[in-house]
Amino acid sequence: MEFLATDLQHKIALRHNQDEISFLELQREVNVAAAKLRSTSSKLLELQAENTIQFIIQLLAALSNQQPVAVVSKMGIVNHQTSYDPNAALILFTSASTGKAKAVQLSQQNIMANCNAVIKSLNFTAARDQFLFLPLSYSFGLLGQLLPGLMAGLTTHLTENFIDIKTILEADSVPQMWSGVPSHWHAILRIAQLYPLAAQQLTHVISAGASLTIELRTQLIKTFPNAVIYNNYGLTEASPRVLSLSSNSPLFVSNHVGYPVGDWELKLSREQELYIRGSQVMLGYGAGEQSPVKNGWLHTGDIAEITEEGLVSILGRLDHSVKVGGEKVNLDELEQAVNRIPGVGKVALVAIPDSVYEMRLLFFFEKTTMPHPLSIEQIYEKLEESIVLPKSATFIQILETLPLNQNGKLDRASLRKMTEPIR
Amino acid sequence: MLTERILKILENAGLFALSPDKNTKLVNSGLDSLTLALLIVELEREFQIKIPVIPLKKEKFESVASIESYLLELGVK
Repeated sequence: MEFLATDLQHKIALRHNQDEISFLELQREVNVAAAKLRSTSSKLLELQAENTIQFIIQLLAALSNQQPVAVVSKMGIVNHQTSYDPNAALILFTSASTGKAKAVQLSQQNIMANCNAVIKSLNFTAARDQFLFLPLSYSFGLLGQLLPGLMAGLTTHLTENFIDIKTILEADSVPQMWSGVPSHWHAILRIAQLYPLAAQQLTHVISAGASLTIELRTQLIKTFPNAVIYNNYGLTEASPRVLSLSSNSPLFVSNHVGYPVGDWELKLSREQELYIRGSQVMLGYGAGEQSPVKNGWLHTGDIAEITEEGLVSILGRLDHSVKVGGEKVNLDELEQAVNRIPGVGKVALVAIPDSVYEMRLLFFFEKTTMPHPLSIEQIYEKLEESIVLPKSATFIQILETLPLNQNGKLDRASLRKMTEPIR
Repeated sequence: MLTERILKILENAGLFALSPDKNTKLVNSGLDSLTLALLIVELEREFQIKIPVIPLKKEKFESVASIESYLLELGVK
């Protein structure tokens, strides 16, 4: 299993703050760490993801030992099982807005198939380096960008601090490949427009997590005139990359999502749900979770259309999920989870379209059902104790009582009307 | 006047439902690390100043009041 380019030994592989390490040094460090791991344990290794060189060394060491590794986010909210598929190499956790993270088990073959598909379809070998701020507990960051970048010989500039975007754009040499979800691109575009010379240095603009709007596609082409823009679709259960559409296509400025990458086969169910099959389909979830893989086909939960040429558009979801800043949020589950938090009273959740986060979440709390009146700040604190929320895209209002319709049921239409002033 | 200019920049940076209380934490209006980056760039442009970001003093951007004090500290008139 080879995740490091072998023909560029003296090129810098990773850079983080003032630290940097070449491909040769990285390979040596990985070998040392792998030997240490072998002498300590062969069981599942749990690593907390950090955009640091040390984390990546540990991860690569485990992968080279074929020792299964679970990568958890800094939130560390996962409660995972200890028994996994014997072929599991990497366990990632899906976004868990309600605390129910699913453990996605991937094999080395899944990972390698994805990396090869990404390198080819996103033309990684044409880039010198990449700027990576996506969290490495996120399949897009880890499998969509970091590992293909290391395999293709790119220098990866790691950061977790968005303010580095400004510092990077003010530097003489700007990394050529940038990756983010659409809400990142909204902000990056605004910043990059102030640094037009730096923006010209980008050659690859990679977006995933949710589809780019037509407006955003147009703005990205304009702001990054020397870059190919890539709109992507994927899911952790698919290791993750499935579809990609580049600005080289005459159909790019549209709502189409992309063509399949790698060896994916696609088909639609009678309800037009997108089913996918190929060497990137996960091994399964952790124990106790129902698998969406049936007869080799991964049921994505997305409603889609496919043109005769194989170009896919996503029309919506089968369940009540929305994307908030690239994170999938099930509205029903989230509303129920918040209603179960002691002390906050009755709660209703409304999602409204948003130009930055795709959707924003608006929680309406009912004051008369709170045991003790709470301020908005106190409610935020209580929410943070129980669930993981995209806080910057979350808004809270306290009402005396929640509006009810003639049948005594929650009047969501009235709540939506209340959101109009902040849209 | 300074407050009004700051509020306009905050709105441009994508913050919403800003409280009339200048001491209210901006995190409740959607300030996160990404909008903070945008906010700093917009403040630099509006007031023609350079805001030091290494190290980043996040507490200076907690509220409209703290941004106002910080700008005065940086020489904005």
